[in-house]
Amino acid sequence: MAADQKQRFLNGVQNGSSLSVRRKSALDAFRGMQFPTTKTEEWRFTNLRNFLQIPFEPAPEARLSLDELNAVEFADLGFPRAVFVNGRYAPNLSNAEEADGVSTAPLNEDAELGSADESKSDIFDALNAALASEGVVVRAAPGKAVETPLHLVYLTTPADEPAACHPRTLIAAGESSQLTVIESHLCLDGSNGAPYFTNPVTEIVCQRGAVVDHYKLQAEAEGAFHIGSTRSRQERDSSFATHTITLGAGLLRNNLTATLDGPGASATLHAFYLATGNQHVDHFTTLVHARENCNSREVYKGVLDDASRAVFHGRILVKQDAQDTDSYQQNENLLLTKKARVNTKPQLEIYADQVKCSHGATVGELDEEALFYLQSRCIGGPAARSLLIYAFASEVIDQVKPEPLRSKLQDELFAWLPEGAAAREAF
Amino acid sequence: MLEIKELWAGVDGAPILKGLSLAVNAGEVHSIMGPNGSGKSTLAHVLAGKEEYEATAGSVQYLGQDLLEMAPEERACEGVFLAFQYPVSIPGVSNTYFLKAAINAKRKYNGDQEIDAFEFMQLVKDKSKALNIDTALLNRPVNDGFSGGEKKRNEIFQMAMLDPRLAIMDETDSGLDIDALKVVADGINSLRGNGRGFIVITHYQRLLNYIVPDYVHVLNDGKIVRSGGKELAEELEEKGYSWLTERDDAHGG
Repeated sequence: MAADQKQRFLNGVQNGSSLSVRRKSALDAFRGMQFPTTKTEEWRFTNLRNFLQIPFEPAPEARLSLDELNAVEFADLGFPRAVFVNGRYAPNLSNAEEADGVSTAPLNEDAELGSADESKSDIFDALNAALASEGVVVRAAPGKAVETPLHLVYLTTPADEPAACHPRTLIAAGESSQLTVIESHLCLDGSNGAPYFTNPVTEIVCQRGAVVDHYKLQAEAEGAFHIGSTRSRQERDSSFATHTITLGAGLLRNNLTATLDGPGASATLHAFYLATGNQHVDHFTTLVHARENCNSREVYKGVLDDASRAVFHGRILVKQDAQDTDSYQQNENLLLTKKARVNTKPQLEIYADQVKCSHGATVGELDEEALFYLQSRCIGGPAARSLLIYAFASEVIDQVKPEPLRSKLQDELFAWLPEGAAAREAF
Repeated sequence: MLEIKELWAGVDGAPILKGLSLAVNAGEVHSIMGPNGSGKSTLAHVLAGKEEYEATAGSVQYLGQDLLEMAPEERACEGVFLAFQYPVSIPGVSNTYFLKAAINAKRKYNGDQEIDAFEFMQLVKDKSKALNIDTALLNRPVNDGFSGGEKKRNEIFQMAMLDPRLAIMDETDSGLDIDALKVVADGINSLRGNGRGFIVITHYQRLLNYIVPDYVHVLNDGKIVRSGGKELAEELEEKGYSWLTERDDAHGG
């Protein structure tokens, strides 16, 4: 079964000398690896059995009008965009060149297809490196503060056959530059079409003193499988924040590896996930403190309704050279039903001796005392519950800086919450 | 406005209130005193409608309605206010917007128009000034990181904003130093009148130096065992509770 899937993914891939060195090496790496099972430690709680049975083919080409695009929730935030439809760059929908101080370009395979080493450790990463058809490189020039966020839209259209795409993004922030990038994974007409597979890889490099604010928003169809990786590497005194907002997809796995590779760097890893129905969302994070005087703050918060399931794995590795590390990790889960489930696991490996590292995890229901307090202040029923659910999410949502994105998220949440309009009064 | 008759109530089938009767008329301030475990907080929670407290016998009439049949939020919308002994913190919700949502929930229930932003801010300004509430408190999340005194003051502020008909103060004085106590007492005093009824629950007589009640009741083992005027509180201060609690093993106060 797994072997069939491997072969299917490689259908139509050329062999031989026409491939770039990196792509070829990724292809070899992919061939040499196996898809994980629940016996694989990192995948214990996420079962790919269903995924492996679906005959995914390369996503077909599709054309879209601007109006169709803008009708998709979250697609139109009013920022310059680079739009990819089924993995292909759509120039008619894109205006990224209007972004001042930032350049976007297609991937140059040899230079920019990621480091082969990293692709060798994860089969999906290798698959992306082998098959990424088109991708984008976003560069902020040294010293340039880019004021307007850049919006990268990865859109899938409904298809009759199961389809896969492997988008690749490289964000390179030059020395002392400042940049905001929103990476959205969306779908057109989410209720229709065959299941599909999105396998994105995003690499972010923050050079000395760069400030990068990154958002990964995922609001895909119920039938979507989303298995992706985000990797950041930070040089001295840089500041990187990534906000993972997970709303859609039937099965999601987000791997995030943030490496603090220069003294004085700081990283913020925030996430909010909302899972309903039978959704399965798995966030696997690795924070690497490689150098001294760095700090990191990781806050993952999830709301789980119906029979959904969430997995959080938060690994923090503090290397021997990373003295005076200050690291904080928190994973909080709110279960709205008896059927919803969570597996949460912190994993701290500390090899330096002067380190401040704290972590915590909670899994709980809505606070009855708080509900009664609200009732005694005239706010009862679903509105009281909704108010508390949003209050829980707000710690992450409030940190979303681009206003159009923040208010769209609020709209989305309050529209989903019962009597959300009444609850919204309190915010 | 409130008439409690032979009320039995408890938690998990264990009775705590055992045939309590009390009548509060509009504009009256009643103080309920009593030793720990006598059922004071239970009375407050039963009146406010906390789920785990179950009334098993007796009745509570509030403005001609069966209070026990009403959901907690209905009671609140009908003008019952409970100032909590331990106010709950709600991170992520600002004190001010929380009150706006509360006022609008009440207005909606009563078929009134929503409060407009200007009117609301004016109300906040007036009430916080009258009660000497630090405006910094208003922008912070509800009770989150508040000191004990700030929480109690915030309860008084919420009471002023919601303008209840019947206010139940559940040990609002507990844990307060004398300055905070005065602020809270001043707040309550400024809200007296206009037909507002108060039930002031306290363990100590000292709050009653600042809030002079019309009636004092002593609660023991789930029943009111003595009622009187404010002089009863002074007598309690002097003699303690034991002379009223009819327990053979009780000594002094």
